[in-house]
Amino acid sequence: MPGLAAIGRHRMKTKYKIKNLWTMVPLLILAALFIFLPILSMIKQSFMMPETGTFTLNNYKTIFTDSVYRVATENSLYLSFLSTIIGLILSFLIAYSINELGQKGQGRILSLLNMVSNFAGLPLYFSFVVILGNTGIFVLALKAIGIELATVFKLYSMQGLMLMFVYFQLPLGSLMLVPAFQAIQPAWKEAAELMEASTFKFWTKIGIPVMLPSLLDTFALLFANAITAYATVLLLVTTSIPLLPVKITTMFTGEMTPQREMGSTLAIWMIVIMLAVICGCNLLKKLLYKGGSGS
Amino acid sequence: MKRKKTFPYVVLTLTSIFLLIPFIATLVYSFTVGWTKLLPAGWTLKYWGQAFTEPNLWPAILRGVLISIPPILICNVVVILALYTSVVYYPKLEKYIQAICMVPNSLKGVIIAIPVLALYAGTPTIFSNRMVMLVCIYSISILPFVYQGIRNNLHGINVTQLLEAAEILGAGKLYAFVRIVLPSMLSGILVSSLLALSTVFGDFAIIKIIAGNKFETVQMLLYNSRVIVLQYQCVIVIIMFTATLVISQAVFKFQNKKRG
Repeated sequence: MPGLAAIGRHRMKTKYKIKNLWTMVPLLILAALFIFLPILSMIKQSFMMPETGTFTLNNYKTIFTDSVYRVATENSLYLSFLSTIIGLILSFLIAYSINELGQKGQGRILSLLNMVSNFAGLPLYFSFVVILGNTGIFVLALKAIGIELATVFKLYSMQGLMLMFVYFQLPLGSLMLVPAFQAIQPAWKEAAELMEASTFKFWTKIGIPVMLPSLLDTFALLFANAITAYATVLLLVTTSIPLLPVKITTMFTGEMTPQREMGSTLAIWMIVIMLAVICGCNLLKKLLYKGGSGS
Repeated sequence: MKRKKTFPYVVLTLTSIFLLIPFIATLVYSFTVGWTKLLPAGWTLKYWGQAFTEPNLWPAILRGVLISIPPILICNVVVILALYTSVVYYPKLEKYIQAICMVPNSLKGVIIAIPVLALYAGTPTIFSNRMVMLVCIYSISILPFVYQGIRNNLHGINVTQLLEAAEILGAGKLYAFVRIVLPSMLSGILVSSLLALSTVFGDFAIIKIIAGNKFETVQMLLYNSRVIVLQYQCVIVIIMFTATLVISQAVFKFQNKKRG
């Protein structure tokens, strides 16, 4: 009677299914209470008029018209995009170079990158103050031999932020790209060489297109990292260069009365920017993948 | 051929110098009396002594470790429950679990903490308690690490076959889970928990937004010491960095052991 046994097994399985579904519940509750509900409520607040609480689109209009918010958005976008692009290009070169090394050298440089990838936030800020701050050792040492560094570089400025952002992007970017380089088979290079393709041509026609999905993933991750960076920027340029994360935070936790509605709007705006970049990267990846397999 | 080989070395040497300068400068500076000329004015261990005798330092480090324990426990339990069932009974649900667990990879720090603070602060619920809030937000922000670790582990030990074998030998579901599956997942749980620990330890944004000065971890101690001499901050930076390094070395060791 194999049929009956199968029915029995099937019944048992459905019983298991219902009995076991509860194990998903804690995760769902946790995510609902601390990711989805808070963000939904924030979206709702962003459409509310301060004080009266009626529906409005004015908060979003204010973000695009009021210079305080516009400057913060522009600064954040400029800093995040540029540091991500610089970080990605340099990480590409670093990961390429790592791939060219022998096993021993690779191990050494990878553990250095791993170590430095822990070095971010406040500690990173203090280290940069030590070397390049107003009384930083490089600044003073150069002054001692008659060079004024301040004429070309200031830490407490956009330049300083850019330098620190690139600093924390490099280890992350390179660590993410190393596996992508390892996926490029030496045989492809040999084949390309046999067909007399130059190294440059190999990389532009084969190497980079093959790696493009990884490059896009890395871009999205580095961008998300840059635009949400808070600890690094908090002490450096709080007032002189407004940036989205700091601006949003002061609207909820500052000494003044919290501006919940505008703060929510700004927070949602930042999330939208970030999701747009991440989704853009994913979309591009899909499009390229389709195009590649179709041709 | 020769040119081909020099390029990687030049790139990696320059990278290493760039990445190591801030770190080495901080270390050296912490031993100096002052550094206003080409070379330091003199050497001292004063600031190291000051940091180690600082009554707030060790409690702050301890607080950092303590606050990471409940989130690590909560997160591990929640993820193991959900993933185990999905791997064994509902493989189709796994991608949804992954989607949820990966959210904090992009929504992190400020944009995880601010919405929670805005929703629950001042409400009569238990979530308005800052410590509860902190634990819950940390549980969320370590989700990606814990998920990744447990997922790799569950797939690595081939849990379905293990369960079948256990059942054939007459073990009940719960017995099989507690005595066979869980022990073989221990190393994976340990690795992801250590990664989570270093995330919590390295966090400043969430603790600053949620707890302010009410719960002084090393990060907050460093932030509050910004007005004291720079050498003192350097010492704290080095101590923090060493702690993170120890954790990441432990992770590295366990991961290699697993592979070998």
